[in-house]
Amino acid sequence: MSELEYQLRQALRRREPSEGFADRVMARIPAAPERRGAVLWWRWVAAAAACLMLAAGIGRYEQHRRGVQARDQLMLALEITEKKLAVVQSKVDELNRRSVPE
Amino acid sequence: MSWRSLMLLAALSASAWAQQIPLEALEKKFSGRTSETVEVNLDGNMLRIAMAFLRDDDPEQARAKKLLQDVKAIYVRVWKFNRGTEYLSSDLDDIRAQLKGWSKVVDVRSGNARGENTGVYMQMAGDKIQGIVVLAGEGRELTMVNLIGSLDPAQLRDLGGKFGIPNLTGLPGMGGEPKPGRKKNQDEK
Repeated sequence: MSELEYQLRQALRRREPSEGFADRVMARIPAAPERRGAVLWWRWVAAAAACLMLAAGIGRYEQHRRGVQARDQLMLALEITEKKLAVVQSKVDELNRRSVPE
Repeated sequence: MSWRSLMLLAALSASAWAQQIPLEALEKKFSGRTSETVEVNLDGNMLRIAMAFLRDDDPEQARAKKLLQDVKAIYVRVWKFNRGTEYLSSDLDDIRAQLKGWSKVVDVRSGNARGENTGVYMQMAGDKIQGIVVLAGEGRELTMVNLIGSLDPAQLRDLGGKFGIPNLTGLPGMGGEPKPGRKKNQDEK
């Protein structure tokens, strides 16, 4: 066995922990989740606020889109009405021309 | 809310319904016979939303806003029929049956089964128009416009020629001197 190999074996050999090591580890476990829960609570609030703002933005955009669509439909309806009244007008004019005695 | 208010609300709602022409039967009748259908339904909230989006800086939209301020609903149907399945004059009898009691401003019925049919019908309440139906059949296209609400005939006349709406002078209810000759219920050959 070389000197290097011996030193490595010495450094990596198994060592027993000190007295009360397990108890000290178990005692520290409850402290960690509490701090993690506090951080997560703020994250949930921020995520909910972002979702609400996104929903409000989408709702506003959708409202605007529906309004523009409704306006375009209204103008289309009036345009069709205008054209068809013109058809009626021309029919009335035609009838009047036919019926007026010469 | 008192009983009197409820009755008034019911009466107003009923009067609005009276001016609305039911289209379901006609749509069912024309189903499968059309190559294209244009449908516009603007009632209650949708019409209010549309009116809110009309721009005052656009002359046409501003005039539309003025004309339609008391209108409750607008329904438009344009049916373009396939060759061979055009509408018949008798198909329109259902609509005409709904218009009993309405003033027939213009009512042109063709004697041919597939002839042209045109008409303007108004329901009056005093000096106000409560409903308008415009029927225009040309060739393979039939259009029906149903406008519900309160319209001043003077407003319609004043806008005639400006909004592109023809000035239907000479017709009863539209102002001006009536022109000589036939006007109503003309049968053409």
